[in-house]
Amino acid sequence: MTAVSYLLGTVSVIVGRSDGSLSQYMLVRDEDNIGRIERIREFESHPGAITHIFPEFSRKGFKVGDAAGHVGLHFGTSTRTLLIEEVLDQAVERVAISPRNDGVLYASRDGQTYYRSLWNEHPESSISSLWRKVWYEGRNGPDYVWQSSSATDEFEPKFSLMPLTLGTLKAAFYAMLFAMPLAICGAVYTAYFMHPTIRGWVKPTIEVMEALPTVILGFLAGLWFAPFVENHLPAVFSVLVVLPVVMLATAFAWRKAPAVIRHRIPEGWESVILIPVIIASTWACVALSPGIEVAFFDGSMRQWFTDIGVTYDQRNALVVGIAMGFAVIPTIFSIAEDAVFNVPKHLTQGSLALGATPWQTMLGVVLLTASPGIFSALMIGFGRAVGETMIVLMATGNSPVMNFNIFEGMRTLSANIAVEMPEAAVGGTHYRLLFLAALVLFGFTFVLNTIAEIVRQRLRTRYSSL
Amino acid sequence: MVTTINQNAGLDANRPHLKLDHESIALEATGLNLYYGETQALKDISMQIASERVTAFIGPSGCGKSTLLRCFNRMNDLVDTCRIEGCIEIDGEDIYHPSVDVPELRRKVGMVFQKPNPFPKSIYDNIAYGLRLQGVKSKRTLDEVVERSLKKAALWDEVKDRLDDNAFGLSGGQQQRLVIARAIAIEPEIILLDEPCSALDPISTAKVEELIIDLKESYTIVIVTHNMQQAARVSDFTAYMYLGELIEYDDTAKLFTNPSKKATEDYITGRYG
Amino acid sequence: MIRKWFKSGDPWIWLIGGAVTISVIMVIGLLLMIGVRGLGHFWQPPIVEATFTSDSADEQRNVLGTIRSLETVSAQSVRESGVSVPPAQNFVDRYLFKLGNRDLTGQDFEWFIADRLSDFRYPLDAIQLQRREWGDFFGYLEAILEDGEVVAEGEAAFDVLAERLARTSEIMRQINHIERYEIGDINKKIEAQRLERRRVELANNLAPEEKSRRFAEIESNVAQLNAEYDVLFTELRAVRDRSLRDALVARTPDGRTVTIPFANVVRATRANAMDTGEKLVEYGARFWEFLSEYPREANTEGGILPAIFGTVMMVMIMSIVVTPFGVLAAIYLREYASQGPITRMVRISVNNLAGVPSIVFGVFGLGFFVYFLGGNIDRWFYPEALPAPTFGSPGLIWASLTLALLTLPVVIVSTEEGLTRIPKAMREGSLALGATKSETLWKVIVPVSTPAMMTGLILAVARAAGEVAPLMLVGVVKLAPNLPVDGEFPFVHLERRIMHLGFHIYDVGFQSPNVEAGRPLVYATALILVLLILLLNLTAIAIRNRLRERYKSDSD
Repeated sequence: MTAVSYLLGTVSVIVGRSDGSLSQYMLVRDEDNIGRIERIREFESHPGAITHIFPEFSRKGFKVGDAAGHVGLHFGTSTRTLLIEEVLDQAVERVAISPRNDGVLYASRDGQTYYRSLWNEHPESSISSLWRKVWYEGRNGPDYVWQSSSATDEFEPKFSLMPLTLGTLKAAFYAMLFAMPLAICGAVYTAYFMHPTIRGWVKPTIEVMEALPTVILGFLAGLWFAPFVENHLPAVFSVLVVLPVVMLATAFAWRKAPAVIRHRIPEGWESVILIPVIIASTWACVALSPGIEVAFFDGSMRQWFTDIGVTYDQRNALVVGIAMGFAVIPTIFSIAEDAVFNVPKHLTQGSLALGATPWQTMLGVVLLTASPGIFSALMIGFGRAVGETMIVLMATGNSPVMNFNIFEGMRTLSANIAVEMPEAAVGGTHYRLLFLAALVLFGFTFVLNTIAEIVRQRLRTRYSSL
Repeated sequence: MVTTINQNAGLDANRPHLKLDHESIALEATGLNLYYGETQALKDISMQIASERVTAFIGPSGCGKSTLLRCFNRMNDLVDTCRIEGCIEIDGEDIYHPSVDVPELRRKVGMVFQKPNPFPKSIYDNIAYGLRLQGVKSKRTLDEVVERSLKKAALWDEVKDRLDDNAFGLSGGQQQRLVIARAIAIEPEIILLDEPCSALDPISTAKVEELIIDLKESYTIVIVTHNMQQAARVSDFTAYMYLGELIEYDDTAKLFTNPSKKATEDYITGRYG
Repeated sequence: MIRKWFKSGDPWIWLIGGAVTISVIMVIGLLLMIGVRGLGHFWQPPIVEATFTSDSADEQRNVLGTIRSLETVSAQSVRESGVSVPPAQNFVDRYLFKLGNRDLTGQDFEWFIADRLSDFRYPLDAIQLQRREWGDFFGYLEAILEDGEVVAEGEAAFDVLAERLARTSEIMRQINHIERYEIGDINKKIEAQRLERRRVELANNLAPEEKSRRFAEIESNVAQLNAEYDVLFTELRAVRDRSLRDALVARTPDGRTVTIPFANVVRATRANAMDTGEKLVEYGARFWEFLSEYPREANTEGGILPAIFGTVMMVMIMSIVVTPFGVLAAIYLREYASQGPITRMVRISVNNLAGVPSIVFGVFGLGFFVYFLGGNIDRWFYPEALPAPTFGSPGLIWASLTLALLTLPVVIVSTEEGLTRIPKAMREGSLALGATKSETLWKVIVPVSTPAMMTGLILAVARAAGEVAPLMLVGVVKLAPNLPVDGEFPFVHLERRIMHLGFHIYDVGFQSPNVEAGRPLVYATALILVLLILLLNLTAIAIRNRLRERYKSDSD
């Protein structure tokens, strides 16, 4: 061991050895709270024995001199070796770096001092520090962490885009989980089975739904829906089961209803008949919810979740999924409805004439023909869910977690930009990373939308040739 | 065997309509009125369709011949404002009775449309579609039926090597024969053809006409056509309709050579309009 | 038979029909909820007094306030929060009371278990005061003081209160005027002099003596302004003293007596003594106050005038920018560009632009408009103000431009659709009369497709009015001291930051220290925003449907 130095913040040390190798050591505590010095990372070796290590004043980087006349510039967090350069034909005795990291001094053994100016911006980020696990100071092991600021200046900024990307996908996934069945089923029904009179009412309603500002959805989700869900968890789950069952039961009852009533209402009015049924059964689920909690979950389902080891945040992915699903439904609905409605009539007639029921025709011919349109509807919907900001911002706790638990929140790329951009120092690494996050978002939605758009244009030509 | 009973049996002098003996009736309409909203499209139509024969409906555009054809397998149900009075019986059962299973009926009464409408699937899947709907899954049965139907539709030789190709790759005439094959794959009793050749070139038309004549061996065929020559070529009986009324219905040879109504004569000699 | 029924697919049709029903119920339910809660905000609820018995049953206290909500919760969750409930009991009803008197008790709202409350009363003489500070006050009016002397007591006090409140309100308006406009004006002039001084310093071509002459001039101007300021300040102090003449003495429900100066009271109501007519009048007054006043108490009370104004201003500037660009682009794409692969790519890109997340537009706006364009404008035209940015910081103009970019595809797509719908015959008719292509375009096509352009613009405006995320980066603030339009040259201040309805919702609902107090106001703000957007959208839908009908009949 030939040189040792603390890095900024005196949490970890850099050790240089006679063989030119450089490693970072740090005190790590295991589960039993027993501290142990661990080697957390290696840097690129120098050709000669390390003579001196000099830490940067404001970041986790350091300057190294070696016996073979090289100076090196390394950075802790990102494990980057930025520079190893031969500057002298003899050993470098001492190195130093200016407080603003823009100049470096080094001295040879014979006392000669040299100055070089330096440009070294943003060494703390690299492809691997952005997208792979990093062992940050004070942690038990390598991990994905996003933490851009802290109270102290000696803090090590943790810029892993993984939690944000995962959070984005998590939010979009749950939103699609909620929106996809409702939007696609609704679109198919509206375009193919619904009575034209009602269709004339439903279409503008969905357009209004599309126009609702997301800030309003977000605020309702955060201030009203999240506490509501927390207090009525059994209702949320029972609705999932009860509604389909009740709808089927209504269908059966309708079939058994006296012909006089049935003939008064033409086909295509099913969804209107279902209105009171759905409202009543949803209300029943909510009303029964406290009873279920008392009977099965010791009075509080939320507490029950905590007891069995499931973390429950009030503003969680479930709430976001439903709120953002609400925002995405009209997008998917409109495009899918259009695709289904424009399936040429002679195709469906051909199928019906073969003795197919309307449902079989829908499955066998209509869906098949409209599938590219539905696919592009889903793509565009997904793109919208990925980029949505306000709902996620307001309906989650915005904690950058790395899991897919439906009862925990997330922080998405877009919400992260909205929260941190106004506070980021212009031109700094953090600021640029936020721009990078925006670029990632842009690229992602750009690809999705382009695919969707090309598929749609193909479909249009196909319809005109059918 | 069908025997023609003398028309004009004195019962109704204004309705010189064909009467068939009971066993040879495939379909019988009685007092059929059809309204689209306020307008009446079919006026008091009563007629019998002979089984295993080709019956042609002719008449100027808008005379209701397609509408009448669509009544036979209840395709008019899809039109929201459509209202029907009277009855149509197949095998002695009223097809407009509320208890009738419409898909079942349509399986019995197949239909081919003006424009070829293959589904965006392979040739094989197009033919197998109807059977699969009925729950037939056995590959062997399907293979057999596909082959048989295509052979009956005189298309087998042309497509047997490319059954898995998309049906859109076929020519218009092939597509129309494919659609006919698709219809006969489910073994209907009656096949309704709604101007099946109007979108085809003369060669394809000839092929389809040949096919129709072949098919009457085993099916009752009703064809709507604009083309009087076609009606004369392929049909055994012809009905002439005008403005929603059935003007004359008779043996084809008789109707074209010696129509009993002036209006019919005007139409077939081209003096109409 | 059931099996056959399932095979026919009928039940599944009902099931997917249910999906439409659920979606529609959600939309309508949401609108109704916002409507009811938003409008409910302005209705004066009765003031309830009840007796609360504490856990140990030995202590009783009076509770006075309005009931915000009643809910049934499981006993378990109440026990967890440390309140004892009889073990046999599974459910607990609890009331959320708005108690006000934050200055005395520290909290506005409190939950009470219904079983512990007894003896509900609606005292006629209970008053609710909306105050400029510390939120609402609930209590009983005892007396009115003038300069510390009692002028009215008991029954008569309330009438005197109402009368004198009008006077104080008038004085408060004066104070506001002096502070906001007259003193504000002087402050701006002083700032202008400071900038002038800086400009002179920076000017290289001035001789030293010229410079010092200018400096002297500026000094004297500043001195004069400072003198004016002193005069105004004295005046302000005098007016303020006048506003402090009246005060009221009130008794709180727990028996304390407090003195509240009139200057702190916005409106006073005796809710239980009001009849429906009076309540309606009060409702109208509160609604008007909401629309026409500045916010108070960290935005959780008062009005939303600056937010409405800011939203409207921003949308107007955006329309001015986006209309020509969008319409011209659409006309070019549809009428002039050859419909080859490049046009197709442009069209895909335009549609793509519509799918780009709005926050990305915000980031672009911040990087390009604010820092690049704004920064350069500052360097060229406002060097004297640097390093304080003028245009180089988020502001109205940048917010408008960013939104214009965001809504450009809406206008292009809608205009293009309108152009496509025009029957060929109309075009050919004009060409056949010998009109040139551009004459046909400008005299026939464009006038006929105006409604389509209108539709596009309205939809763009509706979209822009609801967009918040990008604005957080390029121009909105929680509290803007000045409207972007005022009487000072150049009258429209494009560089100023604005308040915005959508951001107001986010800010009050999520960033404010007292979320519960601000909640009704958030609903009311949401209602205004939703109404604005619904109105715009329904107009657009109506125009579009009429348009479609017209061309349907034309082309038949």
